[in-house]
Amino acid sequence: MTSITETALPYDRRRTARQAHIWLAGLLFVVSIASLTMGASATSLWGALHKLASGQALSHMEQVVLWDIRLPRLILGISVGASLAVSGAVMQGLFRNPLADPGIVGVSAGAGLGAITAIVLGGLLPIGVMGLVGYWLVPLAAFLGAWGSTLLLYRVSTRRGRTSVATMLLAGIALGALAGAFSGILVYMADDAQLRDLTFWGLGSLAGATWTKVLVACPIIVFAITVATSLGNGLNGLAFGEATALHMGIPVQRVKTVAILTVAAATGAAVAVSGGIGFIGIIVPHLLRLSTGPDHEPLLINAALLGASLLLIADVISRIVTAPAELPIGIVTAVLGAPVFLWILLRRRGLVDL
Amino acid sequence: MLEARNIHARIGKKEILHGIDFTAKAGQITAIVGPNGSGKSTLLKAITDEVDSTGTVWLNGQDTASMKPWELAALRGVLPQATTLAFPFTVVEVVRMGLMCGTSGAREDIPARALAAVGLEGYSGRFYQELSGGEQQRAQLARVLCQVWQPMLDDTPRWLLLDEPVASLDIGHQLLVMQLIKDYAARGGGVVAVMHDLNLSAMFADQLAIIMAGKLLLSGSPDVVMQDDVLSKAYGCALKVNTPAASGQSYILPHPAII
Repeated sequence: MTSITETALPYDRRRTARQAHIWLAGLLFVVSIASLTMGASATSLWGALHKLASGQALSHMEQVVLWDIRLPRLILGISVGASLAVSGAVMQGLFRNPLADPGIVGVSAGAGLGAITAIVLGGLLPIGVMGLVGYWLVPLAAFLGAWGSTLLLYRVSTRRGRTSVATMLLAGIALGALAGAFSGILVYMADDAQLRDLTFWGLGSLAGATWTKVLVACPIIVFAITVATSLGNGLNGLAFGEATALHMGIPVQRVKTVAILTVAAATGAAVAVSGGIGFIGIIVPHLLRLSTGPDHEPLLINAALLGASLLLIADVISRIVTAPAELPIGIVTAVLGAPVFLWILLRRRGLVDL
Repeated sequence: MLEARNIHARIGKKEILHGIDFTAKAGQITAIVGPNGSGKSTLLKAITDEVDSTGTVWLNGQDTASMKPWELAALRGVLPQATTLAFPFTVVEVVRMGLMCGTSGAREDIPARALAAVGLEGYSGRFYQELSGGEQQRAQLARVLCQVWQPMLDDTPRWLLLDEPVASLDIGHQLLVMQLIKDYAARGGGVVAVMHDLNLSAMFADQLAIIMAGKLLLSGSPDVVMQDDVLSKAYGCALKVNTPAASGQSYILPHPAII
């Protein structure tokens, strides 16, 4: 054979993609600071830090705004943004389609049905049960709805130990439509106050962030994302088709199972605490693929970092444009996301068609 | 040694292979030939467990059904007829995928050498989807080569299982690739290739296996298989095999005048 001693080939984007970890982590840091600093209240992070450094006690106002409102909101925003972006990237890899997102397998519809059921029918629960779950009813129902629909879908599309991705796609559409129909019935039954709750839940928001929410949702999300980032090689192989992935030595069935379960957990938890926030899951992996290539190993980590940053940016915007009121964040991500998405499509049409 | 015994395979409800015994030796090229729809690609897919099949396949004496995907990947590389990718990978990214699972070690110079071996120097930054069919097939072959770069792994032969590796290539690259796999076999590896071109098969393969209507019609060296009556029966048309005394290299020419 030829004796070429070239060691590194040009156009290998893996190094660039790994360097992007550092840049994106830096971006997330800056945005996090901004998120702690900006908001309806004039409380300043710097002022508070200055006070702490000089040994002064914080005012009650500063304590509440920074510790009880902005910090849990920051952590929840990071978790939700990372979770949506990573789930999107994993779904796109699994379905071999750059337009897939968790919505495709009915996770979002399941979560939506759970939440709507809780909002509309929650009042019918016995007082004892209400006392137990109380405020937690809606997120809990959303999480269970997401898990339930995903597990059902997984069972429907798995025969003799093999999951058919094509069946999952079609059955996901069917189950999504069914969940949508049930949600429709419930919406029809709802009264005016419930309808307002439903609308706001559907638009998504981080406004309700509390430390309790952080403590419940974040461990699930962190665990799911950590597991998901180990799927890089497997998803790279699946890009070549299932048979070739298997011949590359990838345990294809295990990759599919792990992918589905982590997405259900991450999306379920994210949707449960923040409602329906669109576009992060599609736009973040897309931006990254266009800039640093489709290699899933660095892509999944970059998606977590960029997803978190973008959601925080959207959250800051949602807080300041109509201050002291607040715009639902789902509106901001759609208003910002859709044009950017179109712009990418038009600019890189050739590459997207590939 | 790659041995398949009593292979029945079905696609949908139709049985494509009706009990085939097939053997290939390491150090040789074994070509699977036969007319369209005879089941030659299905035989390769049954060997690599891509279709619904029964029977037993041994790779170097080990039952493949008992082996894990990564154990198989360390011993054999499989080239499909064509591969479409879901995302815009560059050529070097495609080829480097071969490194991640084979036990070639993470020797970073192997992708460049594999690309050179298939005649794709200078292509590393091109997008895979922008290549022609023949170039894509060679890029995939380079990936498979990366996976099983050394033909021998601790005295165990490794295998290249190729589904029509040269069907979409021009004649120059057909010769390049056939010579490449000939060298691979000469260094101890095993090669099984589904082939369309009888002349190339006769020229490079050590063994030919003719599949007809889901059964093994005949298997043997090119001298045995390249016979008028054998080929006429297999392909259902009159064929004339020529063997010039000077080279001893049998060939057929598709020209009415010969018949």
